[in-house]
Amino acid sequence: MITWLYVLIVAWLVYLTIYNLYKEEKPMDQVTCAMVTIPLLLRLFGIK
Amino acid sequence: MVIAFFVSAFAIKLPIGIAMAIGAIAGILAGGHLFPLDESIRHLVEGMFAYFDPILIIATATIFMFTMERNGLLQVLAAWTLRTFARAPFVLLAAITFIIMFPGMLTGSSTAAVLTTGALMAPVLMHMGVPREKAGAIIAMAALFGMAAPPVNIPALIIGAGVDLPYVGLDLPLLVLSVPIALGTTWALALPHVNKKAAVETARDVEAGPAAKHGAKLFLPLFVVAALMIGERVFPQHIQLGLPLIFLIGMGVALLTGEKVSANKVSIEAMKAALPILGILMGVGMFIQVMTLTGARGEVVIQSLQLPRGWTGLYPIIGTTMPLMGSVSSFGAASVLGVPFVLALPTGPETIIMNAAALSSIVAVGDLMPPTALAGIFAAQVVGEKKYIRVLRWCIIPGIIAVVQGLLAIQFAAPLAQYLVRIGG
Amino acid sequence: MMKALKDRTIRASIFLGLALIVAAVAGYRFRAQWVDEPLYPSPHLTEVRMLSEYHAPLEGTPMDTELYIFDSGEPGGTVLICGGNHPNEPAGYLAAVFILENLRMTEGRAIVMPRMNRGAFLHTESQEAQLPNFFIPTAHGERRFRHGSRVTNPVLQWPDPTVYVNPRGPFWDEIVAEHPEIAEGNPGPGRQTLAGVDSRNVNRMFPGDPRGTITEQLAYAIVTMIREEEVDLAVDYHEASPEYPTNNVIVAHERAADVATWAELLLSGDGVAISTDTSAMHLRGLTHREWGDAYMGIRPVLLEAPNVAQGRLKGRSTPEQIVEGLDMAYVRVQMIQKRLNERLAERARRLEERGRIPRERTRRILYVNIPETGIHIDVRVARHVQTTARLVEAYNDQMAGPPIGIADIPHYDEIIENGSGHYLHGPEGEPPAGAAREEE
Repeated sequence: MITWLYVLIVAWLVYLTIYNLYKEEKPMDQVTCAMVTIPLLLRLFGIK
Repeated sequence: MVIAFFVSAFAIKLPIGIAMAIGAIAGILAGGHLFPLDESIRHLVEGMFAYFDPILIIATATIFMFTMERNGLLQVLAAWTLRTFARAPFVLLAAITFIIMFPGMLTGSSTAAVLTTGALMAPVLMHMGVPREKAGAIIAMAALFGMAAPPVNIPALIIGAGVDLPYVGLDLPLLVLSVPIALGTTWALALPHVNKKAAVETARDVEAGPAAKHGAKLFLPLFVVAALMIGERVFPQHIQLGLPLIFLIGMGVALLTGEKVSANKVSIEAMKAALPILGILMGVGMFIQVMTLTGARGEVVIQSLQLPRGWTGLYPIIGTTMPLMGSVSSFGAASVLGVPFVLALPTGPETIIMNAAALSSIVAVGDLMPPTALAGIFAAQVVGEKKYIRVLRWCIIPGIIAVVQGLLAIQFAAPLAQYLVRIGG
Repeated sequence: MMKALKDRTIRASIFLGLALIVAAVAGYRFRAQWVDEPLYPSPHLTEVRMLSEYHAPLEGTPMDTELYIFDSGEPGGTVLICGGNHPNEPAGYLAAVFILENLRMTEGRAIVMPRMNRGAFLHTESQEAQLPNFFIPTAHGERRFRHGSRVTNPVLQWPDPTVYVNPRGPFWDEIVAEHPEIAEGNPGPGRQTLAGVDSRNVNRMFPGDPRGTITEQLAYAIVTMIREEEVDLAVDYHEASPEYPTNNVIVAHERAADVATWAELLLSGDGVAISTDTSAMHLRGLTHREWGDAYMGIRPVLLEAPNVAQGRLKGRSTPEQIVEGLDMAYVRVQMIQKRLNERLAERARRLEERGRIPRERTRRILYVNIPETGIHIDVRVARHVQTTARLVEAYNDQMAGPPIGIADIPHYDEIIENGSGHYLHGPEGEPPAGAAREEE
């Protein structure tokens, strides 16, 4: 049960991160966002 | 690795997170680990996962904090506290210190403390006349000592796990090592700026803002979050929500009890503020993984162990390497350095507990060390200071005192343990 | 192209695409760890069971694990042999596989569980930079084994609590009611506060909890199996870093202490130096403690052998580190230790001349001697295997329970001489070179 809530939290953080990735002006801030997406996505899909 | 990091961070002025990542990649190249390529990518990504749970805590805590600010809670609380305690700044400062420490004591996370009660107390401190930078330093230090204080000190737990030491008898030593110095730090930094007369006058002028009309229910999110944190500690077998969920529940309550706030908008803004720090954590995670891969991490530990005990040998090494390594992660430093250090010190049943407590209080200071400096970065954020170095400046002396206090506790571990360590049952 | 890069949205899509590629490559590697390498039991195997037969909710989960049963058909006792409690301790896993692929029972039966915490085989730990596999040469080529983590994969059990309090379990009260003497000086299982990450370390949560986390359920299933199968002797294989004080040791529940000390004596005749530690009563949740406190019939022990690859002082991650047990960082630490101790002795002497008491006379950084040739995994496996054989012998000698007869397990010297791979099946299941042994 609680795991599913955490999966939802991660899904939401993925959305927030990608939203900011598209909104950030500076390329390096975008790279930072992209970097943060990697572990979030892997956990979201139950891979790592 | 280190050179690549410094060049990227300071010469090319890349964000710290990316500079750390470049340092990690440089380490892979220098170590000859580039091929097979999928394996080196695996290492980099695996390294990021060290900070997976901290990412969730930081992101959700930031969102919670932003919501409390937008719905008016922060302003109302600041005004109310000032009016109530304006005549007794000495007591008020002590209360502020405990309030900031509280989430850190319960969760073992200085970030949680800075971003919740730290954020609440920031405006109070500044209205009292404490300059922005010093207010930030007070918050950072109190949060740090909260993290080191009982009942939950995660570095101590990690050190205990590494030497098969049950988590028993640590409470009193940890309390003695954290509370007096926390109070002392706040008073030393704040009292010179606090003028009772001025405080009373300011208190009259401070506006509670439009959210005041919501009355007591405005404070509900704070009570819910505190109740859940306490519940987790008192009934660990029954309540296990974890900080991220607790913060989001708090956010949910805050959305209903104050001024209207758009959940989506506030989350996006909070995430924007948190992302550079999350990026640093990702970079640091990769960096340490590569340090381990190339043997550099082991080398740091080996170099740290080769001196005799004493003030001209092991102690200065403990006092510097633990906080330095703690800059990358205080939990990592507790495991990688804390465990060998405990074994290098006398290991009598009570003495070892005193030493573990002392080491865990030293390693907590690492949360002030750049580049991560979690406590410092967030403290700067909650007081609205753009350059966190300005906040950290005021943390240097209390930080050093904390380290020296920890080393003294190690030096006199045996006699101190007689008074402080009780291993019952 | 350059113009496209100036557009924030296109740039974002490119970065996101790159992130997806990196995640996919890493994800592919992470998922590769989920595939079990095949094991090839000896022809004397009589039955394979899944652990979920003792606790149904584990069925179909990644935590369910095989129990290989060798029944001699003759009456006698039951011995349980476990590897993979901590899959980052490779000789612990390999020793159990070694027994599995050679064992023949002559009296009683054996239950071999080579992958106790299968969920911990499915990943490697962040920051430890472990290699995902290690390779053992056999007569038919190299055979691959996974190198896992100390704790269950977080994908299976997540999130971790801030602090973990291990479970009391359902058995203790029942045991105390029947045997009140066991509670003397023994606080019983559970209620120990541990770091949150230990909520995924199966060796901190015995006797488990049937309604707890998946790792607690695993622990519960194992203890239930031990009780239902009336296991008489249990051996749990581990490894420890050279800087960890408990090493080259049999850790024994007090009921197994006599068997362990007798085995220690027998092993000294084999040239295997080992010591016996009694399981501490205040350190809960471990196999050697809780198995004995959850079932009165069992004599549980845990074995440790030195492994440089899991140490905090380790040098760069290499295959040699795991297999040959060779790490120059550790060899160097020994020299540092020697120099340090010379310095300490000199300082102590000078202080004593002045009538003062020195704070430190000697210091041990390592608790195991690491030769320049390393401590090969063959040696570590041979230690575990030989210790197991001698424990069974000691158990029989002391008539500790119904007799147990094991056969076809090569001697310590043979394993060292021929290498452990000589007695293992090939990568495609070809029979081991050392299997054609005369029946004794």
